[in-house]
Amino acid sequence: MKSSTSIRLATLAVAIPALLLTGCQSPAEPTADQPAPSAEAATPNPSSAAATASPTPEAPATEAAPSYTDPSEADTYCGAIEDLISLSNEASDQNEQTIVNHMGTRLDLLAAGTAHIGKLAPDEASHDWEATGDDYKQAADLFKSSGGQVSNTDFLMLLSTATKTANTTYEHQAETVDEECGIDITKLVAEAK
Amino acid sequence: MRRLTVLAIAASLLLSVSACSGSDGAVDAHVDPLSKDAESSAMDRFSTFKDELGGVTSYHAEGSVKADDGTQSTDFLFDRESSAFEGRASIESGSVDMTIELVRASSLLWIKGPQEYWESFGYDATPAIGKYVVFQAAQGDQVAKTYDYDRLVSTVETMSAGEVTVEGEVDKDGTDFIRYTLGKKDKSTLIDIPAEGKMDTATLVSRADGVDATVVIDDFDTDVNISAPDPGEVTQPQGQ
Repeated sequence: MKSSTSIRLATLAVAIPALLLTGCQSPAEPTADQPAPSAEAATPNPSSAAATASPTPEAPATEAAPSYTDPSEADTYCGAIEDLISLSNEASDQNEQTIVNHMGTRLDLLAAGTAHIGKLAPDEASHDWEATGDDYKQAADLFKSSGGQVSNTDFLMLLSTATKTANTTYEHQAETVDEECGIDITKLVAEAK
Repeated sequence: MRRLTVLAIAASLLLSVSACSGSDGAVDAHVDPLSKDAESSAMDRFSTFKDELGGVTSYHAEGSVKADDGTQSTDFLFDRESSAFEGRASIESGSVDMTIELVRASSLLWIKGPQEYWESFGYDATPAIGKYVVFQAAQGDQVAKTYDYDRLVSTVETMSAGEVTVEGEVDKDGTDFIRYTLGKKDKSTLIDIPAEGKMDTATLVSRADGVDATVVIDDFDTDVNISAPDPGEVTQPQGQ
């Protein structure tokens, strides 16, 4: 072997994992009352990474984290659907940036909420709701595994699929829900994001 | 801890086409020249291999990069349809002996590595222990490049006849392979393809700046199911 091979400085790209490792919390399943990750997680460069090698306090949020309704905590089918509508209204009251900032939380709530409705729904209705829950869960999982990279193409595709499944469910189930609960869920279709 | 950078730099050298000079290794295996007729058949064989490679959707790859101060070994599965790969890279260099696991999927990159790996870059590795660290898209793209052998494999598909030279026959553990030079002689990669029978494996051999690198590909069209690690396996940013 020639001895001229030296260990040169590598591409520092390897030294820059952009997320994490500077004071990260131990990972826990996000719950509804934890703030969702900021979609603009700062990318540490080598100098800041060295400076923040010990845990840093969380930067203060620019707004209070919204508290969302959790449909998966409802006791009844109609109650859960009411909560789903509340959740949708809460989101539509917010600006785009806030929605993006709390994407992870919202997706988790949609996933758990629609799955929960599926469990409480009449048998023939379960499948639609469960399919919605599954699709939202897939989107939520990739979002979380990516560390909140909202512009990732695969995530956006999963989100789009989940939205379509949800819309189909709301349309198919509108009559049943109206009969059982006197609630109109067709308005969810227009607001699904 | 500069030695650890061999992991990235050696792998990136594998994909470079810079000039090299003599040393021992796969590059210097004894090559038996072929007759003119045999050479012509060999060129046809390469052409067939190239065409078949175009239809390969997945494969297993084992790489070995030997540098002055150590060896890097890699073992990956590539899913060409999803542009995904996963596997491990190990480095032995002096007293360093470590392995990292990589997942490249959904255009993102995750690496799971031992504490000393992350600490060598100046990070507090505690959150990363036993977990995958996810990279931001742009950085993930950069790091993934150094392990993405499919870039090299894909260049084989783009070689025109005029860029390929039949070197001759080499014997590897009792099996005959035909060796070809891809590209110009002094800036080239070699590829060894089985001389007879199914072309279900190939070895790419490359040298740059004293690094001896080989990648053996096989298990063409093997089952692959490469996807993002579950959220519970990924260390999450603050606040999540």
